[in-house]
Amino acid sequence: MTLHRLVLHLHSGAGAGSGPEQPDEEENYDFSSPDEDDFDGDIEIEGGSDDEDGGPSAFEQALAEGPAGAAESAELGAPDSSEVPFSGAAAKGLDLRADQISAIEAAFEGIADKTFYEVLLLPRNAELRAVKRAYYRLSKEYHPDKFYRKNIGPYKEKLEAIFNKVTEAYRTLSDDEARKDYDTLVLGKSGRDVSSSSEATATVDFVPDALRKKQAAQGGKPAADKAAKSKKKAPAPVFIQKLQKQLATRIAKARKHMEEGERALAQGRNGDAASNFQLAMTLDPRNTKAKALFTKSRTAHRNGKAEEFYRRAQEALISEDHKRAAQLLQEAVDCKPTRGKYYSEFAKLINEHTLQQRVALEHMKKAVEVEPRSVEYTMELAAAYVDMGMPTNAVRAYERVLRLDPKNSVATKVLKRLK
Amino acid sequence: MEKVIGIDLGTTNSCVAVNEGKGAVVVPNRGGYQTTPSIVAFAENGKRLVGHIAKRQAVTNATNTVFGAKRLIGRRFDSEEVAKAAGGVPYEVVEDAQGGCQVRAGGQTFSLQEISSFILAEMKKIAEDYLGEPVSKAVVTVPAYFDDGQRTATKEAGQIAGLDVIRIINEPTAAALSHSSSRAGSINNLAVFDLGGGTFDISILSVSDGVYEVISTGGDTLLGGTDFDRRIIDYLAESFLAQYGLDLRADKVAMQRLREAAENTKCELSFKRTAEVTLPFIATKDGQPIHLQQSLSRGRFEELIADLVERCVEISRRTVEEGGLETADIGEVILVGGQTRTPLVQQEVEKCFGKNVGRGSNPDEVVALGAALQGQALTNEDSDMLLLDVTPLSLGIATVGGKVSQLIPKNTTIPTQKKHSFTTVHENQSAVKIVVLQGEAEEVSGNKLLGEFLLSGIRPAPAGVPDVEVTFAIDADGIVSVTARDKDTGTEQSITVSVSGGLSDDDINRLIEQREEFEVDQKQEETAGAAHYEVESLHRKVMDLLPAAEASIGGDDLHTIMDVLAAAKSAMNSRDPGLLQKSQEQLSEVYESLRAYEAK
Repeated sequence: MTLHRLVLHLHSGAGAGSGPEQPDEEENYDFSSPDEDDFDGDIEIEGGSDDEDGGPSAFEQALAEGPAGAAESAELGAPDSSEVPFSGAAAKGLDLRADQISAIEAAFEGIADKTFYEVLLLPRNAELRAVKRAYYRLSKEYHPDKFYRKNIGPYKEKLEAIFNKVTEAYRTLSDDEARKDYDTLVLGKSGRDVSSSSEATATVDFVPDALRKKQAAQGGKPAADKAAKSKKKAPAPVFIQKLQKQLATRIAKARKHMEEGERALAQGRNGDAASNFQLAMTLDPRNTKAKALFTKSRTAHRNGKAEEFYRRAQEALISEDHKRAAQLLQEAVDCKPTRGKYYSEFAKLINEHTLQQRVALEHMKKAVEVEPRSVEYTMELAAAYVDMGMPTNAVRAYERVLRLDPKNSVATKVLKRLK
Repeated sequence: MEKVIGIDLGTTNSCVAVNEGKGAVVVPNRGGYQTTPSIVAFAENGKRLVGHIAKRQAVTNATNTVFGAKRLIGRRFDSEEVAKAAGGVPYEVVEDAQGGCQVRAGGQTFSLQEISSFILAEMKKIAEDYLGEPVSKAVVTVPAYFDDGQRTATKEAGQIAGLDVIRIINEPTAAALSHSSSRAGSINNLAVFDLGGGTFDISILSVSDGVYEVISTGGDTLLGGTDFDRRIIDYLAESFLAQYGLDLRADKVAMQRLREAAENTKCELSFKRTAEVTLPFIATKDGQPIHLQQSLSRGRFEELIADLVERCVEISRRTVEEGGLETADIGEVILVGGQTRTPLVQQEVEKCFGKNVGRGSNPDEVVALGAALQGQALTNEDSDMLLLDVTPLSLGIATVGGKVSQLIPKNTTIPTQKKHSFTTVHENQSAVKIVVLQGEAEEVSGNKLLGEFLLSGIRPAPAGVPDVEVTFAIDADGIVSVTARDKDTGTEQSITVSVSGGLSDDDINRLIEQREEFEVDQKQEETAGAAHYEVESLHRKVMDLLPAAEASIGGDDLHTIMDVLAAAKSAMNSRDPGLLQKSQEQLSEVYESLRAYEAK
């Protein structure tokens, strides 16, 4: 459950994701590889390959070629009843030419695991101009506008996935810093064993639960101690490394928000505190402290606000501005609907100045509902029932009073009279 | 595929263009003008006037002449911008039921969408007259800095006018589209500096081989030619005040005259060093008429507008920086909007970018041309052009305590989406409220509220367990949509929106019906008008021939002719198409027989 939400947060990147929406998205994010034998539980942050032309890594090849791999990619592009297999002529009923269909299919195949360079069909050392040109060229082919208001059936999702990945690739590779990060952390550009550096250790701490379980099951090998493996062993999937880096950033941000929130809390700025804790919670849902502090600061904030409205309402009453007082009391009620006081005061105001007894009654009922043990509010309610000529209700209310406070003489007297 | 037209719906003037051959051309209106004033007025007899004819009676009918609707459309009534704009116009601006704006003119109340729809309908008609066929699809432009509410309202205006607005594009981007890229295969950085009647926009683009990528965009939706005019108005009014002790700005009619004078003076000073302003009988003092006589030099004018121009340049610099570039990287600068004709503006822009600005294309027409070209690109398979535009404002959600959490930063290429997971904080909480905002401020109060979305129907569960994925999407028009999905069950979550402003579907349908009725009425009137003209002309011709023929015509025949003439007169008065038709036939016969007589 936690893993699930973590992954969702991590995957809130600019695009719609690296694949079309699938009903069981868990499958996509299961960190165990499709072919279990290839994966020994270590986080190998190893480069894709040593060749500079960005050919597919061993893992990626295994993914594409292995039976399970084929099954996965087949699943991604599974033909359904509405899809027509590629043939020389254009697909029946769809506004697409045959060459367009084959281009889309080819681009979509294995797209989740292609590196940004592969997606843009670029060498690793491509300079900015080439990156831009590549992006423009591919945009002209896969941008949704090129298929504006055309009937393209199942290819719509594939196009979206392709174009989103192309855009993400362009954004990362055209920004110096982002490209450097991508090259180092995700592809291991320099070829050195990144897993033994402190950076790798830091990221390895945030191993997702599923993975940890797997490691434990396989004898609990501590991941950080391993030296670089040969290419025979499957390196960690590219997207795991990316997710880990993103996770690290989020945790760091969450920590900052926690600090800020605690500082605000100490200074009595409940609203700011609540805001910060909420952000911390969103970024790091496993942080229970954040949630607790959020609830606490939000309650304090609301209480403070409600009291403020109440105080201003009193002032308005003194200066006979009843309309304003009513507005302010309404605000107080909205802010803190769990306090009987505001309902009660509101009811009194309505009663005295607008003769809308029925409305006032509802508010008094609310006051009793939120604070059932209050004798004061129940008495008020009972009196109101009497005023409005509802003796049955009044009797019931007074009986309640006596249950709470058996010595209440007023209640006893009125009850005797009513009965 | 049917034709798509491009419409530049400007604050002061609008323009329409159609695709022809390999490019696009601007279609002039009936009066032969390339642009049509964005003015709607209601005459005393209740007749609706649009364009030049409305502008001409603006002075005498100030309170019923609506101009500058673009400054109000899609805005909240209680916003600072509306207060500023509404303060300077003679017509009444009021609040509608949802907190948006409406205007009162001609004894009726109109939404801004309706007013704009009247102008769009007029532009649609101009194109249809030119093409000789009906038009139902258009690309309409908006300032790059327009937010979601303003864009949606513009689309609604198009809908009411009977147009399927297939795309809303930004004005500076449209201008770039109509500017041909120089060398094939190269990548150019382009800056579009768009200073129009009401808004200022600056966009930085990277152009190559038919792809126009917007890198960054900036602007000010309340900075334009109207503000330049205002400086002149204040200058004139202040000096008049000093001289006569009367503030002309308090008088609606005087203000209208001042407004026109200021606009003319501003234009004059673009090619003259001094301008004279003469407004006789502008006011009365002690029962005597007094006149305004003032001269304004270019130098003084430039002093008056210096800070406005500086603001434009400052925003331009900042936008270039945000795009990760320097002003030296910009290969070309395009000027758009009539206001860029001001010498000071051109001078400062040249100084800022360090190069001469393009003065080739007509700054009033490039936007409409670009819009038409985009329409072509979308509907024509063989088109080589592709536009990659961005959202100008950041999209975020409100957190408790009044801060904003940003989801989609500004200058993100559209279309784009971002998913965000929500969960509950109370046990068995059944709904989550999401407040969506647009803007850059850190505090909620500094941003524009797009809507409050209520995610309801969440299953009862402990706090923190439900997992609802909300997708925030900005489409290619720059319009925001929010959808939700319960991740645990995979079902679509119900989401209700309380939108700030905007018309309901019922409203729009009703207005579309009204517009159709109006068009039918108009058509009838036109046919009646044509028939009336015919009858009138024949009547005159018969009257001319009668004296000569009278001698030779018998008494009976003369009586018949007199009856026909009388019937024609009453038909003309009634303007009834049926009667007019009959009279036309009768008069034709009479005329022919009289001609025959004459020939004898």
